[in-house]
Amino acid sequence: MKGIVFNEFIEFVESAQGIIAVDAMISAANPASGGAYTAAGYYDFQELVSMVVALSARCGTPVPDLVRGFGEYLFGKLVAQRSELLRAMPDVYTFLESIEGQIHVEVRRIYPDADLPKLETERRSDGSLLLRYRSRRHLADLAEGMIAGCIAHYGGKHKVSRQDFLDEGQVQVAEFTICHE
Amino acid sequence: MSEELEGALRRAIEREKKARQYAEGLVEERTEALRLAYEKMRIGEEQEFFDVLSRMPCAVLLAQSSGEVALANPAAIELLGFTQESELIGRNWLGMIVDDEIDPLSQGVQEDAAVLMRRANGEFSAVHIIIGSSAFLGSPARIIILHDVSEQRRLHQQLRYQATHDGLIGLPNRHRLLEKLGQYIASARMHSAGLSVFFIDLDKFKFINDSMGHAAGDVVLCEVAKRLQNLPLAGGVAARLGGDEFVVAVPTRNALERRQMAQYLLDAMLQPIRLERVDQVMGSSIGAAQYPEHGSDAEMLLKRADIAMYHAKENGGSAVCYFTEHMQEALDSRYQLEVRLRHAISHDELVLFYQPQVDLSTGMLVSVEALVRWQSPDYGLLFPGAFIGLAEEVGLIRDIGAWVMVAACKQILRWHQDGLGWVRVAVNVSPLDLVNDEIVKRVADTLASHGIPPECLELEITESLSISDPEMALDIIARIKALGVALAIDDFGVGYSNLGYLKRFPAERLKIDQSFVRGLSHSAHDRAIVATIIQLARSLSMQALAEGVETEEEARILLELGAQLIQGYWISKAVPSEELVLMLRKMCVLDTRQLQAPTHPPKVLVIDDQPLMLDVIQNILSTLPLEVQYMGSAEAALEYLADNPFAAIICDYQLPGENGISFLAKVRILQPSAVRILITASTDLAVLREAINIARVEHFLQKPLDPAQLIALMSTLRA
Repeated sequence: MKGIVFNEFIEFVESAQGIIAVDAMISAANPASGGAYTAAGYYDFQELVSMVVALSARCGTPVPDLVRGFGEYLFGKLVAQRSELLRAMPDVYTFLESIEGQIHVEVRRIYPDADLPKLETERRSDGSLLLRYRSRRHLADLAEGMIAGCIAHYGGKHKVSRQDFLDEGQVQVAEFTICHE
Repeated sequence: MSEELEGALRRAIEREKKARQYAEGLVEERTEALRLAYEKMRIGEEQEFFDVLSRMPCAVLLAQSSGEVALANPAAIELLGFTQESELIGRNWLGMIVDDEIDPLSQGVQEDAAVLMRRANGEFSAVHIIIGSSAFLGSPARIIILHDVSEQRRLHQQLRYQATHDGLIGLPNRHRLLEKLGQYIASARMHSAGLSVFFIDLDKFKFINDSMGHAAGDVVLCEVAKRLQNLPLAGGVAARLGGDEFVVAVPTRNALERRQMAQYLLDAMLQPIRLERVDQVMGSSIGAAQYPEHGSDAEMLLKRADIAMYHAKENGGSAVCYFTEHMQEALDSRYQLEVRLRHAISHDELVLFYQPQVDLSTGMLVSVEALVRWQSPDYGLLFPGAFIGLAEEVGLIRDIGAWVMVAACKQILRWHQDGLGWVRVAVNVSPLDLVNDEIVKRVADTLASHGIPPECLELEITESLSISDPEMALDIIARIKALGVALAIDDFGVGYSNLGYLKRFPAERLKIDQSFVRGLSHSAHDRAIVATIIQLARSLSMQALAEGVETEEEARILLELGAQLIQGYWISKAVPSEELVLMLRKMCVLDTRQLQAPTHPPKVLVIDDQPLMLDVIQNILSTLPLEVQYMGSAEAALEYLADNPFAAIICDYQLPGENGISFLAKVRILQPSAVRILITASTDLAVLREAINIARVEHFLQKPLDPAQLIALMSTLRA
């Protein structure tokens, strides 16, 4: 996983719980890289998992909630860096629909080895949007947090509900339904 | 600061340092990777460029601005005569250019030029180069595309040679001559010098070509070309214009030099040329014109030299004629005449005059010959002699012929309408009209459009026919005849009479040329010829018509010789229609009785020393219309003969002092036209042979005299 995600995570922890918590989390997780991440570097995804687990143990917040919270935070950071991406997307649905066809295409162009989730969208007759998540990374929580970040970015007029399915082999499957509140 | 915080910060700083170091390492690593990638790409592109270059069929050099070759593709290596690229690398390609029409170093994006380059083996190649700006390994360079145009250049030169030189003999042709003349004139003008142009036409070339074939003609042309080239031309030129026409142009300073050159040319052409083991002397007619006196441009000089040549030819050839303004004037006036004649034909300035043709036995005007005149507002009334020759030369003769035929038919119709009956009118047909069948249609159309009986129109055709294709002419004549018109053979006896064609010529009349008629009264030969022609006409069932009869005596002789028709001044010159009408209204225009009564009886001289014999002869001759003189001696007779002409002289072989043969030999000299008759009792062959051969005795009277023989002999005599 790209170093930038680690840096953003550490910054997220630091902004929420302070530098001591960050230090304690890294010390507890004891990642192979020693917790020193460079945005352009490439690191083992398990280091992030072990840091989240260490943080959860320390603050008592369940891992899924931490990951969701990070997802919401990460969305805000990414949007701040690439604001031009959202200019052509007038609403939540349009944005979510464009991830697979546009954003992931761009990402793969820059990082051909990137292991991205597969996202399928479908507009429902009731006006909701169905987003199906499939990934070997098992980061449906991160996805849920990021969808929440997206809804917040567009004014918070939607809500998201989640349904988990049985894994398809190593692949985690989840469906998010986004609809007007 | 709590220990806990300090520890956390220190570890955070450590982590940051570590991350930075890792980031720096990453940057270095990525930079190297980028450099390698760029290098790979550049090498790839360069290789691709070289691959393309080496596969290109055209030769390409890449050189530094100073000219050192940095790269050469295989085509360039081959073009420049090297075997491998390394021999070329570093060499200055500009040094290989021998003849540079451009400065290859001149600034500009692209240069395009033809240059001559020296190959590795020292040979030269004509190369077309295109120079463009480029870059090589980061430095500005020139890319030079070379295209070998040696073959094209050779073909171009060959083409130019062919376009400017005669294919057979290699001399410059007319095109090249004009170019050269232009240059010579420009040079002469600049140096105030003179230039002579000689126009040479071989006198006997056509004869050689026609009689010995074109191969012999070609030998002549080649030999002439060689001789002209061997002349001291002093920077001049010898060229062939075509056919047997050559031109020599040389700078000349004065009349002496001109004459000298002319003499060289004449002499060269007078040297015999051996053809089929026979020496043939060609001879040449040479016309000369010079700059600046006779013209200031090539065409004018050439034209005037040609005019002068024509005069040399007209004067018999093998001569040089120098152009004079008079020649030009003559030509101009001839041209003027041609222009006006053309105008005359289309503007009815031609008129027909009519000369009567009279039947000698009845004195009636039976037909007329239409003769064209040109009533010119500029020249007055012109006779055919003044314009028919020109018309034949410039191709107007057919137009005139057509006009005459139409005018004649109109006149025939008008006379008929005026109550004069159908008058037969003869018109002349040019031999040039008998080379194709256009005339057949013309005759048919003219007859049809005027509605006259075809028998009223007579076409006079000269006996010479078309020399080139008499069979065709005869065919055309037969087709004209089939239209019903009358035909007459004109000018009989003066052309290339061919009796074989004559018998197939379906003519009704044979016109005896006036040159024979003119001699009738004084030339026994002309008389004999006319008598023969009349006899011939009779044998071929034609009427004999004698032209140019000017005296009563000629008419009488013609009547006696059996001619049926006469035409000439003695009856009437050719007159306008209105005058002819007066004659047409008369029953007879000639009193034939006047011709039939001889004015003087023939005079006969009889010499015999025996009075008895004289009595016998006198008895016989007294019954005949003769004026007879009797004499007893040769001596007295000879004296008398000196002043008195006789139609016949009869003498006895036995005379005192001199025999009859030697006397008649003297008579033959004194009066050659008198008929010589010898009376003899001898049958000795030697005597008779001597009489015939020495005295040209024409008749013998054997003793004893047979009166019937004498009477028959005398009745053939004429006054």
